[in-house]
Amino acid sequence: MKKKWLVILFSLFVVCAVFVIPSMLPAAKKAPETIKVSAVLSLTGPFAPLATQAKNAYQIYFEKVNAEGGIFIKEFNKKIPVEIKILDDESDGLKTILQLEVANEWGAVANLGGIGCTSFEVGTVVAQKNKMVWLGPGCAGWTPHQRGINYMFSTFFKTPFISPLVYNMIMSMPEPRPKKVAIFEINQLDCEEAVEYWRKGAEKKGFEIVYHQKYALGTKDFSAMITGAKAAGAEILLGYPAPPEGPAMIKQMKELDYNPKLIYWIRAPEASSFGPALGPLADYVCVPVAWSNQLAISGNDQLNAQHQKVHGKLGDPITGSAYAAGQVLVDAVKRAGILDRKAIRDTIAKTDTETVAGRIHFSPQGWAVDRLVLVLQWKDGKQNIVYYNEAGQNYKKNIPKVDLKWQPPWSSR
Amino acid sequence: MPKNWKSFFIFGGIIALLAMLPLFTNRSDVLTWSCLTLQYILLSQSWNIIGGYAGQVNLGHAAFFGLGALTTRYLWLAGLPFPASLLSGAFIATVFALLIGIPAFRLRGIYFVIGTLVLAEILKVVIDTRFPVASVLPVETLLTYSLLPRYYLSLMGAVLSVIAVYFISRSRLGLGMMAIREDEDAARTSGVNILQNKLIAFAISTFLAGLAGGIFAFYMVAIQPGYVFSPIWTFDSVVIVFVGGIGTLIGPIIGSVFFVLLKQWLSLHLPGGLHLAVFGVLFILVVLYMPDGFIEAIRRYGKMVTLGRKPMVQGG
Repeated sequence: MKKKWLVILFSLFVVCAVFVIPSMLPAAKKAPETIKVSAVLSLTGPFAPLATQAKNAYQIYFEKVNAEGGIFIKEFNKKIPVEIKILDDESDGLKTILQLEVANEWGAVANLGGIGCTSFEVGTVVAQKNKMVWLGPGCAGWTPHQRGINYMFSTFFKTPFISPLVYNMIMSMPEPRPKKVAIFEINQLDCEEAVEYWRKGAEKKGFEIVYHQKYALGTKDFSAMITGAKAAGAEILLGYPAPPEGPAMIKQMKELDYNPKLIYWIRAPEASSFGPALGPLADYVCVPVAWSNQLAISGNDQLNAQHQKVHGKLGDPITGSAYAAGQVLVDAVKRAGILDRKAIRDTIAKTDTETVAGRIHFSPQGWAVDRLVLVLQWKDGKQNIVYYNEAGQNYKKNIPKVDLKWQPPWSSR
Repeated sequence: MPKNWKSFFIFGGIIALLAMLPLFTNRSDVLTWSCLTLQYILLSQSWNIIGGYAGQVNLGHAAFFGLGALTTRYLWLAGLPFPASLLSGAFIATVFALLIGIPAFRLRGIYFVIGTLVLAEILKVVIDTRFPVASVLPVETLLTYSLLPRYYLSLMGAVLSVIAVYFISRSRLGLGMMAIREDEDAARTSGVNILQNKLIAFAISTFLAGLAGGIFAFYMVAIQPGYVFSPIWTFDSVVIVFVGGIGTLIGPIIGSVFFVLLKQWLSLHLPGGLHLAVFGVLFILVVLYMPDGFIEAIRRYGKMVTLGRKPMVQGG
């Protein structure tokens, strides 16, 4: 009898050991077929000439990553390819929200962002709500980084650092140097910030702001501003035009024969449409950028060759900054070793890596610290590097710099 | 009367189904599209009252939406309870409408259209210039952000607007508005108080537009202040009302569903900006072949079905 019970107990133990206990243990997590990454970009609307550069960069970069088998994920001990879902927000904040919610439900581990205030200011807040990283070239705005949003990372430069750069660049030129400044201020956040630093910088470096005028996004007639700056004798023109406005302003300046010695604009001249829209009229316009296709930093050869092959030309300035965002994300996912949004956020925060656009590491607010900034000047359809900031000193050998040229009068061009 | 009861049951059934939607799905994209569709129903119904029933083509509707949105947003974030903020937003929009309504209704036809359009543009430029920084929900609020209350509030707003339009269309006020729409001089001769009717229509319309703005402000995690004054709010409403069926109760509902969901579906499935082109072509086709909107097409289809059945019955 006792033996019989022992046999029954032993049999029960075996059944438990074989069937029940393993089913109670957590199952080994199955590796997903792809790592899902979204990119909500302004592919139509006023910011399209900037965001399409980011789209091209992401596609080129992830093709390269996937050609190498994908990203190694320690949790699954294997490489997993990246699947990128590109969504158009039509340069409209509401659409940014809609598309980020689509990306959220799709299961993206992170979102690679676009460029432009709307996409940045609105999109990063949605990313915070959904606890999904927003990483991208973003905009130069400083304020969005002061809101405690810790899922936002920008590989772009920020207004406190790029705005005073123009004065350093002018001061690096031999005398006689232009001193009288005009500011055309678009009614957008990052321009408002830039104006503050332009004003402070002018005061500090001995420049005189002789003309300052605000205008609304979407303005088409700039003649009153141009004649105002001309009458005030402004030799340096600072501005932050949106992509469609830049070419219109230049054409109207030519019509009104306004001849500043330096046009230093953020944003519009780095749009892919600026050079083709203006042809030789684009010459001498300067723009601060976070990347140039002339940079001889590791990885740029491949990027330039692939961009040339796919799009028939070298990449415009946002391309490299977006490509760098892709590099930062892949580096972080690899280091995280798991496909968890929070873990990826935490590893991005600790990023310190070399990219095609130089070294990237982030402040606790998510902006890139000691970011390499170059100033490009348009000449004969090319954008030449004419100046770089302090961070550029580390890449001196990699930056083919030429001399800045003052803009000659329209009549002699 | 039985026909009315049938309509009430269908309407009630749809509301009950919509109220149960969050029980079937908690997908944030589906709830987001639903919120937006319901908010568009409210906004387009509000335009339908002044444009569709009273015949006053107000192209400055965004101004009232924007005033409602900004007032609600800033009061709410300043600590006022949300319901009070929402009503304040709608109230401010209405007061502003009455202030400008008296001089604006001295204008007729195209002058009224241009006048209202200019008004909204002025407000947009001023707000854009004075307030370039986005209003963002504090990080602590984001932690507890939920789409559910936004969804139910949007549903309540949409239902309220449909009920309002239903009662207006069957009231003496509604008849007066429609008389003005058809022939202002004839309406005056028939004893309709033109200015009073227009002002009441404008007040109701802008109150609902302000309410739509307030709900939108509650829903958005971040808003650029100038954005809520953007002319797209006016033109979207106009497009929705025309596509659905102007001066009808159901038209703006059908138009909103078509506008939001189809546009979103196209943007997810057509690459490279093609979705905008296709949507534009579809809109042109609707205007060309259904000039009175979907509602007219549905009526025509209903008639065809009825006529098609009769001979069969007779023959049988």
